[in-house]
This record gives sequence, C-alpha cells and structure tokens, in this order.
Amino acid sequence: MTTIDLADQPPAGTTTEAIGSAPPRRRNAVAAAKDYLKAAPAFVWALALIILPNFVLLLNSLWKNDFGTVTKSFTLENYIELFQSEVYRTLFWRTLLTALTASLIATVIAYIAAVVVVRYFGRYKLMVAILVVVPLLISYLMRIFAWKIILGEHGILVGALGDAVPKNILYSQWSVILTLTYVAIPYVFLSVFVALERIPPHIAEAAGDCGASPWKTFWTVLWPLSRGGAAVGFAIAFVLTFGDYVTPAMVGGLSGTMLGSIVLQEFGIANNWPMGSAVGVVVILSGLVVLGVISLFARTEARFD
Amino acid sequence: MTSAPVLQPSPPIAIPQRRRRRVPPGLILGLVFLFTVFAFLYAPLVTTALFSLNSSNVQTWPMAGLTSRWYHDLFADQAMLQALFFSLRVALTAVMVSAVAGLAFALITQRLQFRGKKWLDAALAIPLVAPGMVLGISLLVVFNLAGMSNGFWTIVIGHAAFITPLVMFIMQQRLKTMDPSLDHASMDLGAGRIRTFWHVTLPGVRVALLAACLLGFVLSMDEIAVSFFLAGTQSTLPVYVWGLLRFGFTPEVNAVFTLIGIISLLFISGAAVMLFATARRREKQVVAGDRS
Repeated sequence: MTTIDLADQPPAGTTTEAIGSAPPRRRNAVAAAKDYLKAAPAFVWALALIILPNFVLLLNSLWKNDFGTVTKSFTLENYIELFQSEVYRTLFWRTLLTALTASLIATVIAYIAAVVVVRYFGRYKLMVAILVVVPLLISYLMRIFAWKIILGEHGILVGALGDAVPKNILYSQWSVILTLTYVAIPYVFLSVFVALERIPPHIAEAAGDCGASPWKTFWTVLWPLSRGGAAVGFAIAFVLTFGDYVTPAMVGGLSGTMLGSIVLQEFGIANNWPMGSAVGVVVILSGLVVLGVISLFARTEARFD
Repeated sequence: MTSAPVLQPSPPIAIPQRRRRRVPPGLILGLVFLFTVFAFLYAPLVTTALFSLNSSNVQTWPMAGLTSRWYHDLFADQAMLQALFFSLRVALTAVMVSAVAGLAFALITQRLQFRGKKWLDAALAIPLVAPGMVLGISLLVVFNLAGMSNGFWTIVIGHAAFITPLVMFIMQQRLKTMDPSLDHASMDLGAGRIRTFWHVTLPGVRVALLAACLLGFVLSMDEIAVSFFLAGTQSTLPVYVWGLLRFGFTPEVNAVFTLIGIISLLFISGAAVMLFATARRREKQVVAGDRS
C-alpha cells in the first residue's frame, strides 16, 4: 500500500517547484489515471456547483413562460423580448455605464492608495493593506444601508456640509455609482497591492540609480509591471458591480434600477423564471466579454522574472 | 503621490543630504489621500454604530440623543433572534463542509499531478468572484429541477460554494511552503495514509485552516446576495433584515449589525494574527533550512 503510494508521488521537493509547469518526468498512463481518480472529488464539485448550474440557467432562459407556467420547449422568445424592449435596452446601457464608471473610479482610487501604501509604509504595509480590505468582510447589507443614512435628504452629508451638497443625491444614479465605487475599492486594492508587492524593490532602485526621475520610474517601471493587477482588479470590480442588486434596491430608487433588480423581480414578484434566467445569462456574458477584453490588456504586461 | 524620490540617488554627496532633511511632498499628499480613502471606507461602519445608539427611530442627522434601547429591544425580538440562530447554524455547517472540501481540494491541486489543474482552480474560484446573484439563481434553478425545495441545506450549499475556494486558496498558500517529504518520511516509517494525514499534514496546516474557517464564518454570517434566492420559509439574519429595511424599518437593525460587525472584527483580527504567526514561523524555518 504505502510503497505504491510513494512510487507514484514525485520525488520530494519537486511538487512545490513544478506547480503550473509540466510534470518533471514522464509517467505511465496508470499513474496518471490514478491521480485523476484521486482528484475526482474536486472535479465533481466544480461540475455540480458551477458548471451544471450555469448550464441549467442557460436552459431555463430558453424555456417558454406562459403566465407563470413554464413549458420546457425551447424558444428564443425571452432573448428577443430582451433585445427588442426599449426598457431592457435602456436598463442594459445604464447598468453597463454605471458599472464601468464605478469600476473605473474605484480602480484609480485603489491604485493610488496601493502605491502609497507600498511606497511609504515599509514593514507596516501589510497591516495597512488589511485595514483597507477589512470593510469587505463586514456585512454588505449594513454598509449599503449606511450609505442611505449618509446620503439621505436629512442625512449626515447634508447635515455636515449644509447647502453645499445637493439634497437629492439619494435615489439617483449617482448614489448608485458612489456606493458601487465604495464596494469595489477593496477588491481592486487587493489585486493591485499583490501585483505591486511582487515587484522586487531593487528594480525601482535601479531605475533611480540610472538617473530616472521618480515620475519616470513610475511610468516606465512600476506601471508596466503592475497594470496587469489593476486590469484584473478592474475586471473583478466590473463583474461584481454589474450583477449587483442590493445596491440599486437600497440607494437606487427608480432612476437607479439595474439589470440585477430585474432578475430579482423576475424571480420574485413577477415569477417569470425564464426571463430572469435570460437576464442572468446576459449578466454572465457581459462579465465574460469584459474579462476577455481585460485579459488581452493584461497580456501585454511586462515581465520581470 | 509618486513624485517623491524612489530612492536617494548616490552620485554627489551634498544633494542626498539636503533631500533627506526635507519631508517629501509626495508623502504628505499620499497620506492625505490614504486618509480620505480610509474615511470613505469606514464611514458606513461608523455611521451604523453611531445610529444604533440614536434615540429617535428616524434615521436623520443630527441624532436625537443617545439610548441603548435598540439593544434591549433586539434581545427581546424573537423573530430576529430566530433568524440569528438560523444564520449561526448555516454558517457553522457551511464552514465545516468548506473546511473539509477546501483542504481536500488544496491537497489535490498541490500534491497530485494532472492536466487541467489551472482550469479546475479557475472553475472552483468562480463563486468567489462572480456576483452572488449569478450563483444564487443558477443554484436555485438546479435545486428546482432536482425537486429540492429551499431551506437549510440549499443555503448551506450556496455558502459552501463560495467559502470552499477561499479555504482552498489559503490552504494552497500554506501547502506550497510545506515540504511533502515530511509526509513521505512518515509513510516510510510505517504510518498509514490516514495516520500521516492526522499526525503530519494536518498539524502543519491547522492554524491556517482555523484562520480560513474564521474568515469563511464571517462571510457566511453576512451573506445576502446568494441567500436571498436560496432561503425558504426561515430566512437568515441578513435576508430577514433585508425584509425589514424595505418594509417596516426598526433601528434594532443598526444594533444587530453593530454587534455582528464587532464580532466580525474580532474574528478577522484573530484570523490575521494566526496567518501572520504561521507566515513568520515559516520564514524562520526557511532561514534555518538554508543555513543547515
């Protein structure tokens, strides 16, 4: 038993180095099959909880809905309605614009914050970074709801700044963008921070030694090496904000409705699951398209190792 | 922010000295910026804590006065407590499932060799980075197709789907720095696979696993987007509160959120301390290993 197990394990120490690369030596088909068998639980999990559900969601979006009863005959009706309806089209563009704006602002803010943390906080940078990420782990609902208290007509912002701020920020597209930016910042920060952390400090030092100004060092050395992290952070932010329904429901009002709100409605009051699934599929596809575009951008990332 | 010198250039001696005395303007600007970001990030948390003590039940500024009434009310509110206990049960079960699955998957992806590992990693991570709504409705349609009605287990499965990859990634990071030859040595010395796991592998990852579980627990307690679609007649606390926020708000909500926020903070700091401690011990081991 034990000896066989040892035989099909790689020699000590190689596992850690061989991650992501080809196996260090050619192994016979039996050993490979055994490893697949041992890995089966993970594959089953991925299949059952991720691939199958998304597939069934796609199926659902192709089913017909007649006043609350779903017939399992395939139709493109839901999608046709989606693309033809003025309401859905407006909502789609509004959601896209909102998510893109929020993610972009969040990326800029988080990037600068990450640069400041990595540049000036030395050995405490990890601690400061954790402080940025902590709000992410504290109740989502509570943080969104608090924005309602802050932005409201008699909210803290108006109370503190008086007439300097417009009183109708809440329940507009702006309150949604602001809140989504707020939600997205820690995600982008995390991604950028990891990318900046990975850059060995001597690379920037070398640029400085060769006479580059700090500004030039940043644009020619640090930015090319970290923009991949910024791109990934942006993509995560976009995907998350594009599919959000809690924020529009809390601070959006009517003019802040997004695609997520529609999904909520179709699965809830409207009880039209096929339509809801179709919107869900649109959300997933939009996320994938943005991820694809971003990965093209991230691929041009310079390498330092 | 970045206009400060990256490093004091070495050539002439007079210039770096003068530079060292001056506080770089980038530092001040950077700190001001960072402070603003922190204020932005923590404003909602502070607001909730503050308003949980507000004696008026209208959520407007300035606050009317201080009271602990909402906390008293909270502990007398049966529906709220029931939702809280349900949430605790869900979180504990989901974390247990995720701890086992996450550790197993980390071992699988770290210790075995097979093709498609990257794809497996990516597929398992999807629930962690996809919007909760997508996970919620996709699981909902599957459960519906399988004839499962919403309830305790549907929420547990939904939560385990995104906690497992979290545990898996933390475990992977830990396993990467552990020498698999320890396991081999144990098995060479005659321990079976189960004994090896129990006495060698598990003690090595124990602390990191506990930290991952704490983070998973915090995430599960606060989750709304997925639970909303998967909750049956008994809702989790966030889903229950969501209903309250939309129809029939009570300031107890601020109180319960404040309490959960404080407990979450404790758990998060606990997890952070644990992960730091293992990381530091690991560094020491690596240094010692290099010397020998």
